[in-house]
Amino acid sequence: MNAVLAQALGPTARATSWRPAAAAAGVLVLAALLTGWSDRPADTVLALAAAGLAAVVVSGLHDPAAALLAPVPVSPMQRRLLRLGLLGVPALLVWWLLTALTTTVGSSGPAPLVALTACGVAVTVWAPPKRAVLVGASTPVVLFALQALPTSGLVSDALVWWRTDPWWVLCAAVVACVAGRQR
Amino acid sequence: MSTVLAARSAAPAAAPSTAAVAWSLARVEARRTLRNPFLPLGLGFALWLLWEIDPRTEQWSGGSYEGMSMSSVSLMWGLSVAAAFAFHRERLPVAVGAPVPEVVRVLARLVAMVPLLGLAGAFAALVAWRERALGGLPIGTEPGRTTDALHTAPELFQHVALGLLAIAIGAVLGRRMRHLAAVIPLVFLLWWVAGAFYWLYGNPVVTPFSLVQVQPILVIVGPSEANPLAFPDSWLLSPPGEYQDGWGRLFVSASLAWWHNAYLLGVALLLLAGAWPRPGRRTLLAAGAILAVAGVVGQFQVIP
Amino acid sequence: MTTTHTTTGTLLAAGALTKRFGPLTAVDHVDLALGRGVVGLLGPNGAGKTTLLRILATVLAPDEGSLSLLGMDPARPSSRTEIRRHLGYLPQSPSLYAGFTPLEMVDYVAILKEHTDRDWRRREARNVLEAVGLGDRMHKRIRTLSGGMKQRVALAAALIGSPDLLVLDEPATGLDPEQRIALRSVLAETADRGCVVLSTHNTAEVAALCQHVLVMDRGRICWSGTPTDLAAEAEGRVWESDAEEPTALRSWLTGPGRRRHVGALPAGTTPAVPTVDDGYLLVTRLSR
Repeated sequence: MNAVLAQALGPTARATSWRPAAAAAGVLVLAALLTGWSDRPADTVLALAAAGLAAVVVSGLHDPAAALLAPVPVSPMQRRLLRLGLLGVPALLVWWLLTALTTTVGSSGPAPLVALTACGVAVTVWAPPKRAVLVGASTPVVLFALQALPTSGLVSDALVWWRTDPWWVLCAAVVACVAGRQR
Repeated sequence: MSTVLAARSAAPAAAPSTAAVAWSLARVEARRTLRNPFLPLGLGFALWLLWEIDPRTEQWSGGSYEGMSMSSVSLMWGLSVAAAFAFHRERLPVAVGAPVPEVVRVLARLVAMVPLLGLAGAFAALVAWRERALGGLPIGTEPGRTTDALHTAPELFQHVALGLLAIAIGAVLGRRMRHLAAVIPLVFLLWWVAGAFYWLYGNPVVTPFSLVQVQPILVIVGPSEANPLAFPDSWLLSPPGEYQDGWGRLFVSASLAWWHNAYLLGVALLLLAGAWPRPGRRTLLAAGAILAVAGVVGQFQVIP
Repeated sequence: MTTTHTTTGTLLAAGALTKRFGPLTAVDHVDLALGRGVVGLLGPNGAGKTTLLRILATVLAPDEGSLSLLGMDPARPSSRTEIRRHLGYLPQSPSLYAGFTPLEMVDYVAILKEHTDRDWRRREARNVLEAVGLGDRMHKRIRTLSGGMKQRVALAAALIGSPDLLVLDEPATGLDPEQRIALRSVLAETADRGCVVLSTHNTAEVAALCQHVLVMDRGRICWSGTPTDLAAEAEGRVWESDAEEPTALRSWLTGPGRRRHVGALPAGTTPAVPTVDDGYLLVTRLSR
């Protein structure tokens, strides 16, 4: 299977749309440069970057040939992981570039980015197939916006878990993905 | 005559006008677009943002005045996504042999976006109501301070101009991008960066080119040791601080806002050209470029 | 209804196969036992043909019933993977990567079918593309190809690796008559070693190609047999006239002012020679 995935890497990369990722990276790098230049805290930029990059990575799961490839031995989850790897590595590199360009205090590293991406993938796995990637790519964006809601108590805490406790969120999302690995 | 054909009614004698056809298409598209779930999502957050603005808890003088200007950003995100969905349908070759040309179809889709502009206008009206309900907003620091500032008409109109820009952004992305899923994060980043960095737009050099113009504009008028009482009484002042060397004048201008709206309309036309079919695209580009350049030049003329 | 068509050994067996989408039962207690050869699946739109084919292609899991493909149970993940190594599937509306060439597309599908020998893959991809008549187009971008050519690229992708079970949903869509004839040769070759299940609206195709026919309506198999048997269903029940016949179950135009009818033959009327079409129309009308 490793040999199969390795050989599938090149053509999968060619079949993936890279322009959205490049555009998102450009907007974020510009934002980071402006933040760093003005010597302002980078929390907002990095939170934004986590949500935006995660959404872009999840949107890359869209496969126009999904119907044709549905019955191949390489499972949908394996093909998702392939695309995640292809888009996720550059996303992490962009993340590190952003942290280098800005002043960050007490940063939690790329964990929020990884957590949001995993949430988006989990939603994609379980959502109805027709809109799965659309709903999954919206998930990091919606989670980012929800954190600003005027709630209190456990709800308020839960809405920011992807920032405060990203590794637990990642674990939960991975469990959801594993449970749906045959989907 | 066969029973199948007999049941059908005769076609109308005269072909309907282009306007009638476009209107029919626009109505269908508008009904569809208004059902887009991202609209209430964006509107909901914008309303919440607007409601949260309270001059009593602002972190710096003028913060609530500035916040009101960018409170519609998440609504703009919703408008862009809704427009992207609508224009993405242009990518499908539906009834290519029909007599209605592509230009009419695109025009009809734009007309269908008018209710979205109506939403933006309604939001602007809500902003006007909200700040009056709060008794006006504070700007400045003594001896140059007011506590009952209200946004001018062109500043409120910016929400509508931004709405048009949001529709244009959604139209071009939806028309040109193969996969709709990628549009959502892109417009999210665009609008949230536009919203999150509004503090930068107060710099006189950046203001003319910003998406969201946030007044007051900060113009440094004296060193930190200057006597603020020596400045004109009509000036609103900002003292030296962590992000500011020297005394600053907080400049608010209706003319500045009008020129910025012209700039936004110009940029919107430029973007719409990307969603428009070939005939007429150059006209849009030319008109957009003229308006955008005029808007920028006008702003620079106004900024002291 | 239990459908049995076995030349040597059962390659595909289903018992009370059922699939529901909300209140709609798309596949309703279907029984099958199919061996080597070509099986045609006929039925009106919305009969459940595509849903059944998707279940047979292991793309969709049934809600009820048993299924055995190539002697394995696709409900088990490991068996499903093994089945897919020997399965070829052409969906109803195949999407391809517009920026790929047919050779690249078929090669990619071959990789995902776990064929890691690059030389073999390239050779095999060329062979299947030649077989479907795209030998001279295999290096052109898919976006430059016509609809029929794209359909053939998808068919080639289904054929790669010489599958033992080939499931084709309306494979002749967009093909001109010459290409349809060529398709029959390709499928006949595949049927020599495996089971081909194809859905079609074209009864001529069924007559020319299929050893066995299943007629599906409202989620159920309402008829099963050979094309000759299907035509024979209309024996003595089909006639032609110039006028409408109120007693006919179905009537349709065959030429200017000429009509063909199926149903109870009016007294004194000479029956026409029945075709597969006649039998299909009669069977589907009687099943309602």
